[in-house]
Amino acid sequence: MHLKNNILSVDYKGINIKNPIVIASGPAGNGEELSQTIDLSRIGMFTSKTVTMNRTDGNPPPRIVDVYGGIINSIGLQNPGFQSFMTETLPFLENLRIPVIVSLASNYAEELETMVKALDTRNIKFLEINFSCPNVDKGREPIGTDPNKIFHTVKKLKKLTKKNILIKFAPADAILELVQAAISAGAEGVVLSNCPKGMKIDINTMKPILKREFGGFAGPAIKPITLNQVYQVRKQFKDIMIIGTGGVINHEDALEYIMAGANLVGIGFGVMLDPFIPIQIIEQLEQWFKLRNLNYSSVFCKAQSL
Amino acid sequence: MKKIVLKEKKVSDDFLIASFEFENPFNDNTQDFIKPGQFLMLKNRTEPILAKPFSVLNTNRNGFKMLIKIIGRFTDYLSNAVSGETFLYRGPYGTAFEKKLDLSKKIITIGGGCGAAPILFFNEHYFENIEKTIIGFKNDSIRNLINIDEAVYESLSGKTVIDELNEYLLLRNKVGKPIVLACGSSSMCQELHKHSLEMNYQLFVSLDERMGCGMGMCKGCPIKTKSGIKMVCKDGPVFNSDEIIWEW
Repeated sequence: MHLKNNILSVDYKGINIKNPIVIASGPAGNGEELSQTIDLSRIGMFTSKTVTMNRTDGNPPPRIVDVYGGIINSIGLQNPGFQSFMTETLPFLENLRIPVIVSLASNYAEELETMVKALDTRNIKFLEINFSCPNVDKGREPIGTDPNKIFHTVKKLKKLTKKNILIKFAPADAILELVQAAISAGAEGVVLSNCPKGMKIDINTMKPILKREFGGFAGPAIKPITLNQVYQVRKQFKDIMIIGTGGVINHEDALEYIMAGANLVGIGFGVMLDPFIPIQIIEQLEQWFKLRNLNYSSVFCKAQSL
Repeated sequence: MKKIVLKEKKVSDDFLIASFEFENPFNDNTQDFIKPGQFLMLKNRTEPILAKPFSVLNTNRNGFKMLIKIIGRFTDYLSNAVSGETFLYRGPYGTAFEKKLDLSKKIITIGGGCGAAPILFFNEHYFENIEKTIIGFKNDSIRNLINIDEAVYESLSGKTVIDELNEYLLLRNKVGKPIVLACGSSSMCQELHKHSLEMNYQLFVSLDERMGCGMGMCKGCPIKTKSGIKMVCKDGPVFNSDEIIWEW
């Protein structure tokens, strides 16, 4: 990995990323509303809401339940489908003047191939293949928990595009094996991690609150888990791109991820908690580095005993 | 998010009334910073609990007052907070009632529980438009906090707001199809919808759904409508009840 930095900027294969803060896929939608609240051109990168081939209505309410240290969400990849995304949404993202990641999901390799191919000529820098949404169950067995399927799917996708491919995984004991499959097939990196599954039971009705019983557990409570996934993967894979995400709500969280070995830090729940958080973190990081006369590269991976 | 200071609060078993003052009041038009139907997202300063949506009961030169049902961790926290504590808010969000209602016509307004807040706020702004108002509470403990002239108490009368509305409509002697604007629990709104079909009135409901961001981006508060999935926070919270597909 060739990283050239000033205080916060990250250079990845000639792509200049202003700072390591990435808006993660999901909570910020496709940026239309968020751009009315904060200046998105100040963010490092923006990830689209996960797009599926066909329109997805998502899950019935309630979709969000408060739990200690975060929420359980059950959105269910609501989106208008790939064609609508290409004509209605992508032009907005292409004009953000920051590198954009388009997030894609399907349990069908053929659908992913169609979408990846169609995106190859568009002004985006990365594709995130979301192999791990906890909130959909349509279609075949998920690709993202089977190293063999991951390898063959990513291999096919790499043949169809020059874009950098990142694979998004949920926390898993076998994460090293899954990442190995993705990287050997040619993926540039990984996004660690998607929400682990969680649930909440209403003790009055004695039933799960969410209609699908479980959802994705997000928020500061999951950070120790996702941080460890980043750390363990970085220990094994020195040169891949890692976006560390899970429970980041302040600059200290972001620093932990960078020290664990994340090149970039994703913010999801934090944007819902307070849409101003990404900008606050960037400002706090800059101040933290300045006060200590340090910069991004002087802390990157420092928690690893390399 | 912007800072507000809790100035005064009154708490009953189920509800609280809280007055907030802006830390930095607007230069002018403070009173008009939010329109009836819109809501603010409030959170405390330290805990990572998502901000929660609340309507205002009224506004003044320095801030606003809210009528809140004590129902979860944030409202519990607020009910125990002391005067002078700083909170954070953002907004206003949501579509104002005036954008969806025909204000050349008279409107019957209905509030259930803390759904009273946006209705009373609407009544204050559009008093000339109000044909009749019914504010319903399960019991009369709210009387310790606030005196609402239009209030009816189910525990005393045995009648729900729908019973009260029904009685009014049966005796109504006015030209034109009645128009009803209601805010309350989703079960109340759904019952009203059925009632509106029986009694042939036009119904607008302001819905209460668990929200995530409050601004339309997270897709956390869906409602199924005849024109697809909409977000309660951004496309609503008020909807023409004929547009809603209640069973999902």
